[in-house]
Amino acid sequence: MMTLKRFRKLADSYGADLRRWPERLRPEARRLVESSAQAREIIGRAGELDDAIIAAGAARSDSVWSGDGPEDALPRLRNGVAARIRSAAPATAIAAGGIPIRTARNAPRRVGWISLATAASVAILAGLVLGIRYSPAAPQQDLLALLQPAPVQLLSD
Amino acid sequence: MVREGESEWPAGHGEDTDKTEDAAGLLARSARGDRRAFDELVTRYGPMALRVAARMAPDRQSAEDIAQEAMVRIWRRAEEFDGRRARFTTWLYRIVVNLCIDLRRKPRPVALPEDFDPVDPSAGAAEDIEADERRAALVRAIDELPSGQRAALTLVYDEGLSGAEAAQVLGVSTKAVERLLARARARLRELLMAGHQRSEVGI
Repeated sequence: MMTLKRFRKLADSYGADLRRWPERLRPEARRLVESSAQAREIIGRAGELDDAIIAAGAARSDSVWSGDGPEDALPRLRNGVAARIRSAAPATAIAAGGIPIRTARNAPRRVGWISLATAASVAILAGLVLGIRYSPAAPQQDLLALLQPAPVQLLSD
Repeated sequence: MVREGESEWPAGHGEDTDKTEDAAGLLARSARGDRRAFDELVTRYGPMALRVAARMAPDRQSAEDIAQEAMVRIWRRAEEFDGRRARFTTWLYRIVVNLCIDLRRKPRPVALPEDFDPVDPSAGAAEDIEADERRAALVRAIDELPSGQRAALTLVYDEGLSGAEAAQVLGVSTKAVERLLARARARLRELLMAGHQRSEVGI
């Protein structure tokens, strides 16, 4: 059961609005308010301070925004953020040692195409090297014989 | 140069943004570099960041700078967010509050905004002037509270967070939040009482 001492302590922290109190303590606190005049007095005093704090907060907020509000500042915020994340060199992040590193998120999409092209080039080159190394040696032919015109009957076959 | 109200966000960059998509979904897309998803996140949660920053920062410009810095930090660390462990708003509150606390740690005179006018000369009634003076004194007292107390007060009273939620934002126990709130309220109550006594004896 909640004692008045504990009740006062909680009111000193959370104020008069029981919705701010820890959820599991609210039913007991409500019962105490209903049954105890002292508890109601504690809540009454806490409520005065709540009102003052909330009014002071609102007054401060009004003076900071001077007629505007957070919604009016939103377009500036959106544009400011857009400009900063656009100019924040998204492809690299600077590591602790000052060495630029590429992060998974920032890696540009064309990296995939570059990888494919590189792999294809390596495969073609390997094929050429293997083809030349393991193909049977071409017979030595007389250069003059190669330059001679082919016999007519061979072309017509 | 972009005029106020115009957006710098590129059209057609990223997937179409679903207005019902939750913050975790938008953040996951932002982590893949989707700037339109991130813009939606800024649009939804920017006012919250601005509101909290304005409660704790010394002036409007600082509040806007803090909100912007918080959003940029979220963009850079979007892939670190784990929606199963924390709510997005808790994360945003934490970043904004920490930036405000860092700013307050820097040596600077504690002052109200330049245009803060605690007493409205047009308010004729003595009670109104008195109430304004008391409110102004309370605003000053809230400004001068230690950072932790100030943050706890903002989160619980202005933002309506429970003690447990405020504890999560501040990275302390619920009991610690209770103590912070109790100290803040005790200080403010003292000030209010002193104000009442002064007005009773006609000071």
